[in-house]
Amino acid sequence: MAVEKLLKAEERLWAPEALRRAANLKGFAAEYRRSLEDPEGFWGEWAKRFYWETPFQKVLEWDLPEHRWFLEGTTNAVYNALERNVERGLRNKVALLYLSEDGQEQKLTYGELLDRVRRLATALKRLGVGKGDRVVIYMPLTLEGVMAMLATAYLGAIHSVVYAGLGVAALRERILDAGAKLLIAGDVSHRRGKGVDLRSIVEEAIRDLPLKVIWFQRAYRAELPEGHHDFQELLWNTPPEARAEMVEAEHPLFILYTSGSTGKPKGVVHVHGGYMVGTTYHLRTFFDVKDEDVFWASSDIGWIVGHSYIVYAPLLEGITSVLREGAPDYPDPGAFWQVVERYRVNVMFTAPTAVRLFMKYGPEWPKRYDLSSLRLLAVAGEPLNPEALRWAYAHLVDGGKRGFVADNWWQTELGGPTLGTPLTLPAKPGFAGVALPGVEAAVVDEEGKPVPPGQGGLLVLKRPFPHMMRTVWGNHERYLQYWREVPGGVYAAGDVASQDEEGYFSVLGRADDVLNVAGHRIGTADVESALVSHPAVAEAAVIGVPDPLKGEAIKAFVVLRSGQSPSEALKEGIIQHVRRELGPIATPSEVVFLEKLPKTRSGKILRRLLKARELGKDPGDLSTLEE
Amino acid sequence: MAKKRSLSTVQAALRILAYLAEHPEGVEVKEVARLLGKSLSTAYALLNSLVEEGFAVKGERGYRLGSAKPVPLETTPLEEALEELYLRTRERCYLALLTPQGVRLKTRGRQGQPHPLGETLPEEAHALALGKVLLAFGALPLPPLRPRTPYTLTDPLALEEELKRVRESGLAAEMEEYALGLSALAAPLFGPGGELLGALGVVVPARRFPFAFSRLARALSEVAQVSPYLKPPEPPSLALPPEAGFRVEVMEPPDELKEKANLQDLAAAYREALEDPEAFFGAFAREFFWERPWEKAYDPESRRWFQGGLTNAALNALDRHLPEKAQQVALLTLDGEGRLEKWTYRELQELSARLAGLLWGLGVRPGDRVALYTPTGAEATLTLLALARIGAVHMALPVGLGPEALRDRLLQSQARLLLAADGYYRRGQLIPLRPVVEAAVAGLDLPVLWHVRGTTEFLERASEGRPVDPVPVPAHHPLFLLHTSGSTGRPKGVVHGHGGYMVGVAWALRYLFDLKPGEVFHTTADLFWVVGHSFGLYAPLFLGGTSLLVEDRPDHPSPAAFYERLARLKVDVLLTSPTLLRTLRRHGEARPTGLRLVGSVGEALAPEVWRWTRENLAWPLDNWWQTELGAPALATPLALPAKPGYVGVPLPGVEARVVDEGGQVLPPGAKGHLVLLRAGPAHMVDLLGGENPWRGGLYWTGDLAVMDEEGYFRILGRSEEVIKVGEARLGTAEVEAAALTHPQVAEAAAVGVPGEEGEEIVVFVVPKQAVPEELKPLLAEKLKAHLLRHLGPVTPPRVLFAESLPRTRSGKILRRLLKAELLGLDPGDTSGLEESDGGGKAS
Repeated sequence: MAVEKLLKAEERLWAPEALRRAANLKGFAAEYRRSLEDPEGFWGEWAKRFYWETPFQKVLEWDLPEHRWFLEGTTNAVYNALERNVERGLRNKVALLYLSEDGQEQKLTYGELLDRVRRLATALKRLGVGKGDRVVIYMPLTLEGVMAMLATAYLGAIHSVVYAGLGVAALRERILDAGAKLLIAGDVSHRRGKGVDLRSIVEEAIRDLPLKVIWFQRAYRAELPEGHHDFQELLWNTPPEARAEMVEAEHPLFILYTSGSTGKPKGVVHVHGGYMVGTTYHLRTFFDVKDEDVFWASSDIGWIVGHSYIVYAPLLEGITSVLREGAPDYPDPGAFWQVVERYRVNVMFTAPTAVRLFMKYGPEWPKRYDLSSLRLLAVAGEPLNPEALRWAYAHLVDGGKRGFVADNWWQTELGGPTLGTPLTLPAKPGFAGVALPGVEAAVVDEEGKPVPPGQGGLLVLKRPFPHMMRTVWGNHERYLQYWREVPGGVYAAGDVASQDEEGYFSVLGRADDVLNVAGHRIGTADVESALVSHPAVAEAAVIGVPDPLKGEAIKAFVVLRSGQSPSEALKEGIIQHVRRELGPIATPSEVVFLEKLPKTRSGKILRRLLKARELGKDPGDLSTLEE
Repeated sequence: MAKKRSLSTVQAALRILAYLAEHPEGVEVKEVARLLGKSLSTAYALLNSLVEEGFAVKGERGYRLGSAKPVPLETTPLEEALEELYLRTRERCYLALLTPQGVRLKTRGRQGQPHPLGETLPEEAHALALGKVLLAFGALPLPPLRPRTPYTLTDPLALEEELKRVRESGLAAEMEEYALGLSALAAPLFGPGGELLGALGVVVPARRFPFAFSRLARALSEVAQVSPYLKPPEPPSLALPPEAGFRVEVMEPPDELKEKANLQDLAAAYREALEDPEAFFGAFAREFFWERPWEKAYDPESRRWFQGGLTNAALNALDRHLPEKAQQVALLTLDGEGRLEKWTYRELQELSARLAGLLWGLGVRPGDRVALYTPTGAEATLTLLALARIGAVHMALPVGLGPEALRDRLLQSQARLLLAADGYYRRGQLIPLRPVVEAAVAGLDLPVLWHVRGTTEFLERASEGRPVDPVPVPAHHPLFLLHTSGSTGRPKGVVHGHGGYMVGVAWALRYLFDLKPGEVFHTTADLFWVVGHSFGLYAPLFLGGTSLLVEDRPDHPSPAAFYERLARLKVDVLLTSPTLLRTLRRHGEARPTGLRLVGSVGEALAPEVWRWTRENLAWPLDNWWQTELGAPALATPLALPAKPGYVGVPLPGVEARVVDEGGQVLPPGAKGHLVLLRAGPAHMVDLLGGENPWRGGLYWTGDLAVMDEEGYFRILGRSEEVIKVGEARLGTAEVEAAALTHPQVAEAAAVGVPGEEGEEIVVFVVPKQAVPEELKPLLAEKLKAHLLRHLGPVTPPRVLFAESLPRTRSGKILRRLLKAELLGLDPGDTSGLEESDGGGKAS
């Protein structure tokens, strides 16, 4: 038994020799060492590939928890992604390749994208958007969605993309928190061959708000009220006059909201300079992308993966980036592989939940297609279970003879891969990988003391890197908390992890009341407040239960108001209510009616107890339980 | 025309009235005639007019005095002239009097109505015949040129022409006067010192004008001229203006274009290309992939290029650019349904390699001829590239060719396979091709591979093929066969090879059309012409560039759509035909585009069109070549100033001369036959079914030309179309260019027909705006005088109007058809004739 366990632990999956030899980053260890010994030289050098209107004088000013990069430098991330690339001869190169579920393609070259972005930016400017203004974007995964982001940042304004799947309450809250001047919204998104209505969600979310709206209308051209504009009309009736606004390196590029355990979503702020430098570094070294590659991050512009690896890093590096709207298994479970075959995708970035979905459908689907172009499959968003890794390695990259599966771990706050398995190192099932260049990670206990290898603890980062968040929008205090939660001036990721002797990290799950459903972080408090906003619900508690596909699924416990009686119809009504408020990803898959909820004496709901009951585990210390 | 009248009409009328008063019992017409000493009809007319106005009544026993009191007649001579004109014409007549207070309008008409415009001229005087007279003789400042009717001249140039004509003829006409449904004629009235006193005019309903014109014109000019104070105007002069004949302008390209031009030292390049082709074209050819290098870049004996070399055009168009340009857009295709698609180098390479596999599976082997009857688009492009890949010879046939012509060419070329589309789009309409193809191949042992429009079947089938590698072939191995467009006779098959063609067209695209990396190139020529082959497809891909291909007519549905397309797709360099440029010019001002350069090929680019292009689109690059030559031979690269009307100088690798029939070189300025002593690398490798143009060491182009002292060539038209007028020899292009300098001419075609002195010139003219039938004689006269001023003293040409000109599908004017029509002869082979719409394709 012991030997077997040992063998299992020793299981190593390697990238093929040829791939390792052709890797953009060959000497990983040396690179890593240098990144920690001379972070300024290291990042400063990489930053030189970009255009700086005013060169930066100092790479890093580090006064934890504050960190500032590329001081006194002025630049613009979108200028670097578009003008710079057009000028170096990529004008007619395909920048974005949009695919719909039914296989329709739209290619946009760097030259065209620049033209569209400048048109839209001119229009935004005419609507009064300027440097520092916030623009909320609620758009389906489309070229127009990307244009909206880039046009905003082109002017030095700050975009805040809200995933077009979140509901009314979530959207309204984000619009209000960001203090948005303008909303750019789609009327419909396409999924499983059907149109998903966004218009009514938007209309409800902005009710009574004095907000200008630009509508990207695909279903039909509606009669728009005063102050509302049609996206296409605006785009084509505005000349491409706007020029990129050069901003300080530390000027906010975007706000992206992420859920926390405290209830209110946090607006994570990333900035032009550091984000541009850091995300591209990992695109080249971790994702190993070559100039002529087709890169496909199968995420959405509503998430950080979409920001960093559909939009910014690939465009900044002049790569062709794929975006596909719709479900991965529609019209059939081979849909993704058809895309890989047809467009010769070289590097793909997806989520464990997708890998598990493919696993469910079986290896015959990928086998039907020519995946010979696929070199690297990166997976992130939640822990990749060993079976899924092995399956992907066996069936998607030809058992390691053709390519490699690279697990990696990071967060909205971190902007780009933080832990991961570079393709020059072996993958170990169950382990996300090692700390990547620029990252100093550790597993500690609650006092901040390191725990011995193999033992669980809190995952912390001991130093900042350029593409790490700068603040929480409108709540710098909340930002400081990240660094204060664990003593020792470290960043607490909020995840539980362990590290082995070789420095590989295994991320086990959240340390707080945050659920990870199909890679999306969902605060229990968000779901609970949505539940209690239903007129029949008095109290509610939600927990995450393991799900073979999504990793975690939401289970809700509900106490009804007096006079209400449990019924299947009510259950359905409650579920629909949450879907409307928060969107489909935060919808409970199960609702249980209880007489009352277990609470601590201070009145805090003991989710731990609910979870333990659910999973048949020892609930642990129940001393604080209210009888 | 009486110099001194015995009796004015007014005096005559007064005498009649006096006589009537004396004879209340009634007066007969013949008495009146006797009284006046005039004819019966004159007397009758005078009496009638008196009756009409109530001064006289007609009773049973003749005429008696009427009840109306005679209006006290004004006595000034000018007003008398008005009365006189009225009496002569019986139409409404107007007099514009120049007074210190401005222009005053006086009217004399049947009912004596005042002029509907009141007492003064409207601000837009140029919309009135009277106004034109006043403008012509400087009595009015030039008014704001606003259109009042569809026929109002608003182009200052056109108006100036018109006023000049008024000055010369002493007569102004206006078809639709100030939108009142009236037509008018007017003439000036001069004082004793030659000063302008006013203008006299007559107005009739527009519908009657054509019939009344001659009568009114005669009356008006007589009345105006016989007015005692008038001096007769100068007779219209046919004397040549000081700048007779062809006016040469020298235009420097803008500094920015010149400084950044890919070719800086044309003289050195030209010298080196002739003296050491190995060094010059060899160095350029080494940018390409050669499986085996050539032994000799150019062999003057055989006129072969890159002999001994092994290469493949498709490999150099696609595979050579991979993987670096894998994701770059190689081709933008816009089909007739408005679908825009972008094809990357990787996609084109992969799909064409797979299609090549499919074709190989169908038995196509190197050297086999495969015919294409497919409109411009991705499917056609992929097929051409796939065939080139396996060394097969592609033969694109123009869609729209009739079944017989198609069958003829299929038989003549012994095609092994036909790839055909079942339809193509022209001006938004899907025109079926299946019946044509089925009729053409009926009974032939020729398999057809169909591209069914509106489906992706063809592409899907192509993508199922097993990709094959490019087959290296000798440099002169045939790449394609193209039939020349046959503007002058039976089509011949021109064969181009892989090696020299590749080097020649790529050189021209980079150094003549000055394409830079990252730019978008567009030719409006269909893929199935040589311009489409060389510059729609091959040259842009050889250079790793991006080319836009459009199926439908460039100006469909409107010229605005064309400008919009150029702007949206950011086309930098355009290669088109004078036909399209003329069409655009006819529609007026262009919309802004991002164009940097506009190449023009296919016909002579008239100086007027050259200037319009430069002012409205971008710097024009005129160039001359033929299907046989594969790439431009004469042109004006950016390194040289342009001389509009002159196509330019021989390009590196080309030697050109103007010679007489015997091949003797003629001095500069002399008209003669254009011949080449040497042609560039893109010269054809074979010719099927035609006379070899190389005779006695010279390539006879069949064109007439003249070379100036600086070595610039001007193409004067086809030598078989030359017009011999008296002693003069005029090229058709020469006459047409002259016609096009007239602001009202959009298109022109000149032919010679047997006449009194050798031949007579007949010019067919398409006016810029529709001309009403009535005005055509006037405009024709105007054009005749205009042509004579430009052409010098020859027999006046005949001017005929046409709505459009017959053209070959590649856009060349089919002059022999016009000539045949004029002479009632058999027009001969018309398979190359374009459907009757004036869109443009170069060739």
